[in-house]
Amino acid sequence: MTYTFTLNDLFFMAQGALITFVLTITSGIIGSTVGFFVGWARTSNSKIFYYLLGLYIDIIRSIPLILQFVLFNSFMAIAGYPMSPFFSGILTLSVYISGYVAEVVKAGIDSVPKVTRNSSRGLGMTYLQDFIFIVLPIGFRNVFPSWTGLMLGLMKDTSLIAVMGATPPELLRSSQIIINRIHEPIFILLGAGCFYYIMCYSMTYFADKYEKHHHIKSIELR
Amino acid sequence: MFDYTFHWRVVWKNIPELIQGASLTLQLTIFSSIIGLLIASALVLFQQSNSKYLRSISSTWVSLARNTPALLQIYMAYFGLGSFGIHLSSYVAVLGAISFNNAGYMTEILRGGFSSVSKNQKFAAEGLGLSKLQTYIYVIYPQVLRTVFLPMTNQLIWAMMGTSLGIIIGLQELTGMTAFLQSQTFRPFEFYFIAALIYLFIAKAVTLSATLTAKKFLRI
Repeated sequence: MTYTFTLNDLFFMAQGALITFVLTITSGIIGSTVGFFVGWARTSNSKIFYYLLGLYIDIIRSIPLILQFVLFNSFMAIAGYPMSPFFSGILTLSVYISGYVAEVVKAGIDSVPKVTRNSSRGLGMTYLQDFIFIVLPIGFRNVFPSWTGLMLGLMKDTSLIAVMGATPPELLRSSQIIINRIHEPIFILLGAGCFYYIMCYSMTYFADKYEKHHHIKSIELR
Repeated sequence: MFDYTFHWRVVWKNIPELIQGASLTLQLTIFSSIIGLLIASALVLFQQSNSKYLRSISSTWVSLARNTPALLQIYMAYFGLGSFGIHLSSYVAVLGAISFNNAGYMTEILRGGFSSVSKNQKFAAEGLGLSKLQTYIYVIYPQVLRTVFLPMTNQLIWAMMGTSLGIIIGLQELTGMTAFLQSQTFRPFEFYFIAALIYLFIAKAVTLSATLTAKKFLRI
């Protein structure tokens, strides 16, 4: 008996795409929030914060994500708090992306000229007022393109939680399940690629629109 | 809460295998970066050419490589090409897929490097009587190298992390080897921890030597 690709399979893949989307949004929000505070703390005058958080970022950025998933999962297991792979996947992804976001946030805060900050303080603003009304709006504009780039990367990285056998399956895992059934790898993989491409493309499209609307010029970060 | 005894001796006994895996990882990283760089240089030239076809080849490659997950690209190389009767070993599949991925990202880096050199420099060099080749060798390339060098080292580390995906198609590079060893000894945490340390060490070594080189020879 031969199996063929049915409409149900397409729904299954679309459902996987939805899971990918949910994963991206959830860990994107958590990771960006954590990363924002880490990056902010790194711009403070305290050297201890700078180096300690620098170490955190360094470690996150030089260990493959796949290894971080497995390490975190097995660590929680031996610490006596076994977690579902899906949940620990979200946590690991959030921690992972927070390291990258922290660097972007730091670059954004540093991109605000010292003179601007000094003059806002000179006008009688408190540190917090200066940060919220001066630094955030300017810095956000400067690093918005890099941040969208990170979120795109995050969406592609969600495909790795399949390694731990997380359920419900996200896009790549669900296409692999279909491949196992109907043995038509190139066809299904191309379909999955199209799904990813469409998702990434639409994210870029909306980001571009937002940038155009707010006259954000992308600044190369180095 | 924490009733787990660590057994590091098992890991110590298997260090030679881990190092063997690490050397495979390094090898894949270096080869895929070299191939990627070669392709990327060609793609950047395509972008600047007048031919519409060459430009569209370049832009298609870049958008495909950057908008799909590396894991999907590896699946494509390993399972997908099988449909056409091309059966690659897992080594070649990972090498090919990561090179493909690298080429896309490196093209963008190189493009950024070229666009950072102002057009006036080219005109000035022409005005000083340099030939086209001389302009590129003495004026444009040195400046491109300076802007591109550090992002390229970042990309090298990305490539290293990308090779860890080889585990999924059964390649025994560092991650794959670690997975294999832990399945034999039932000590997942210890093995993965040491593997993570090795990755950290390699990445740090690459970054450090790159920054030193940049300071010493490129004065960045």
